Amino acid sequence: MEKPILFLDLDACTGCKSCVVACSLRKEQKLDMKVARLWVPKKESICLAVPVICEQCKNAPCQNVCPTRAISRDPETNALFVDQKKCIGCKECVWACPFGAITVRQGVAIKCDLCNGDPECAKVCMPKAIQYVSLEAEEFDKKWRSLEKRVKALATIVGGK
Amino acid sequence: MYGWQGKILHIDLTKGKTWTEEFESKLGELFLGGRGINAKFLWNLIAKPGIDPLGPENVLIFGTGALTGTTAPSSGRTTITCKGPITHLYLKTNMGGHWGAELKFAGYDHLVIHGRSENPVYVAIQDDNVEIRNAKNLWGLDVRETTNALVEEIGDKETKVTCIGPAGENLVKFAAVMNSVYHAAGRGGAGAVMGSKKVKAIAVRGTKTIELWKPDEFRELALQVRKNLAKDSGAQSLYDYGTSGSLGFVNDLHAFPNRNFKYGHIDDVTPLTGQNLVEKGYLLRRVGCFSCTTSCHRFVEAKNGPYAGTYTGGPEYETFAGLGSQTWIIDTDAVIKANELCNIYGLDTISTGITIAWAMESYEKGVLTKEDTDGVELNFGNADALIKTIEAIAFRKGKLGNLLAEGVKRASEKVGKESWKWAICNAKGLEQSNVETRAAKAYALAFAVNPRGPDHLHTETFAEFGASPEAIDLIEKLTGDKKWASPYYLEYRPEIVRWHEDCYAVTDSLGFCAFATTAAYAVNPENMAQMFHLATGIPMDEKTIMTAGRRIVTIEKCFNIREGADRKLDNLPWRLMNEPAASGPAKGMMNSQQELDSMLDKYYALHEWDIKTSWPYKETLEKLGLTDVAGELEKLGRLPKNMA
Repeated sequence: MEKPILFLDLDACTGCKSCVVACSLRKEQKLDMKVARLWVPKKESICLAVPVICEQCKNAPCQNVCPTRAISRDPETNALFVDQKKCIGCKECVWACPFGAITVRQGVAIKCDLCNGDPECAKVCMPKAIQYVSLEAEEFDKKWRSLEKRVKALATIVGGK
Repeated sequence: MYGWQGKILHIDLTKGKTWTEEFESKLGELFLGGRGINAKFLWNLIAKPGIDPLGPENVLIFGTGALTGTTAPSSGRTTITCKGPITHLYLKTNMGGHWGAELKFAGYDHLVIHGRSENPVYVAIQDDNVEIRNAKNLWGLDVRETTNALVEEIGDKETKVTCIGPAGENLVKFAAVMNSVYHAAGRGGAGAVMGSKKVKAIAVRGTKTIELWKPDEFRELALQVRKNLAKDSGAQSLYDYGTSGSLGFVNDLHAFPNRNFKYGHIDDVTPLTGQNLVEKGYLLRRVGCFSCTTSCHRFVEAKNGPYAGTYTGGPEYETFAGLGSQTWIIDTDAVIKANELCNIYGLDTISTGITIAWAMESYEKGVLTKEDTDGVELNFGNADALIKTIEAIAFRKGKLGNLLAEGVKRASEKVGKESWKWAICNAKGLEQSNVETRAAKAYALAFAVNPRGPDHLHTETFAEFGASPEAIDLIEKLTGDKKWASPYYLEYRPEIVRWHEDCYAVTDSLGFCAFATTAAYAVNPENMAQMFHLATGIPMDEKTIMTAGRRIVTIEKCFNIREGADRKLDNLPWRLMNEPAASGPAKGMMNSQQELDSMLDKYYALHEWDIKTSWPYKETLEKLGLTDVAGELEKLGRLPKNMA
């Protein structure tokens, strides 16, 4: 059985941003969209929103480029997490991440660590656009189809008019 | 400060000045936030009765909820308050979307616009940086164009825009204020007030923090309430099929008004239902306001037919009724097109529909001629005429556009020939929303006493139409017996209405959606008080928060009294008081003056207001901590004699 992952369903996302505020409240004990570990860019004229969050890549560019080896993997959850003591805030990981899922605030990198196996974003997402589920190996093409769709949506939102 | 940001932003357009004011926590304790604090500000800022709502003395107040910006479910709504241009009375109008949360993250709980600009301007807010900028290039653009242009101009894609369309610029009396493109503060004409001040838009980008008093406890409680809300039967239906999902059920009761409230049933209502939007592939996405669990808003596209390529937010229940059944256009595509035009021109779909339905009936009766309609064949069922008339109204084109842009009360007064008898507005003047109050007596009472005019957004007594198990349980709690949930009784209506109006005031003041509190009931006074307490640190329980709700309802009432209102204004449209419902279980029912009076007497008595005038007694006001309000009304001779 594979370890659970955050499975994102673009079609179910209503753009309510509950996940973003919930993440900041859980991780930082305050409401602050910019310290959340995920973001939901949105184009309001076509009501299109897409959740962007760490994919916990198997061969992770952020981990590979980190000069201080500050990023490691939690054996329990498979989450990549940042050791704040080792992080020097150089932003190499920010540039390396193909999804824009890691950011630097106040000199240290912050990213999703799956809340130690109890991710807040999935708990608050009532339309089930974010689910914390185990996918069987043969289901992983589902994940890739989801990713492809989200990347296209992101291009529509962040690119062009 | 916890919960709130602790700041009010003032913008004086006459002087071109902006400043901030500290927010006192006592104000929050008494009036909570959003609608409540707005009402208090309106009372203070428009001290003189009789000012022109479209003149520089009016103010336009935006209020975010006390819990807006938090994880409390469906808490992202914003209230706009001013003196209304249709009624010349108190107006609050409320919108979802994402603008309110952005304003709060920019560091402001409320925003007050004073005065009037000579030339078109827009306001740009980026946290502490507030500028009044020239809007010459935006004036004339529709809502979608304005929003897109401002997001580009500000250069940050997360910028949220509240704006008016051409209807607001042209001072159409029922122009809406729009935000997040498709979310309307529709009722009552706040868009005309914004247009009169020459403010095209308020663009906001906020990157600040909101601190909570007990963040972890708040998070846990909000999550629990969120889960309960998602389980509520009403909320599930709103997610699946939107507000128009219940329309077929209401039609089965013969309570879905059509052809200007002449009839209440349509043989095949399918094209106007939320189920149809899903099954026929119109629905592209379900859309959530900030922090909402329910996501009842729709985003649709007409893919085929004469309106192919039209896309918009909506249509809601009220829009399918106003622009569909009332104009007898039982056509999904045409309603989507009409809805898109109302959204981008910035028009309230309720008032637009009711006003056009009045014009159609007048045309068919020969009271309006082809000359009056500038050649438009304004018969019921003519979709092309509907589209042309919406455009005429938004741009005040020709005789027809100028007549209808004034709303149904003024239009019927101008045309005369007893056409007020089929003008669906009450003595206050606002077009009524599309609810068959002849077949729902608590709604009838609630509509009559609503300070802004007859609609369901001051008090929603959902048991009478929704009939969800949760709604009926509440009726049992309030009256001791489930049987009083039936819409046909006159008994207990005042008690049911008063509970719902207190709860609705709390709902609006905390930023919650009424669909979370008085249509679904998972968010309730008890847990609202708990969340408020954990967020702000101000002790609050069910009783004190409902008292705050009563205080808010009462100060709103007092604003109208200061403007000269009395019991005579608490009535219903002539047709609904004098012509019986046409068919179905409510066939023959009416809201006669006698019947309404029997409910009003009890309602005023329950509030401890004088039955003759409907004015609150001095003691009533003092008990609610509104001693200053009592003093002012006393000076004006608008306090009733002592309580019996």
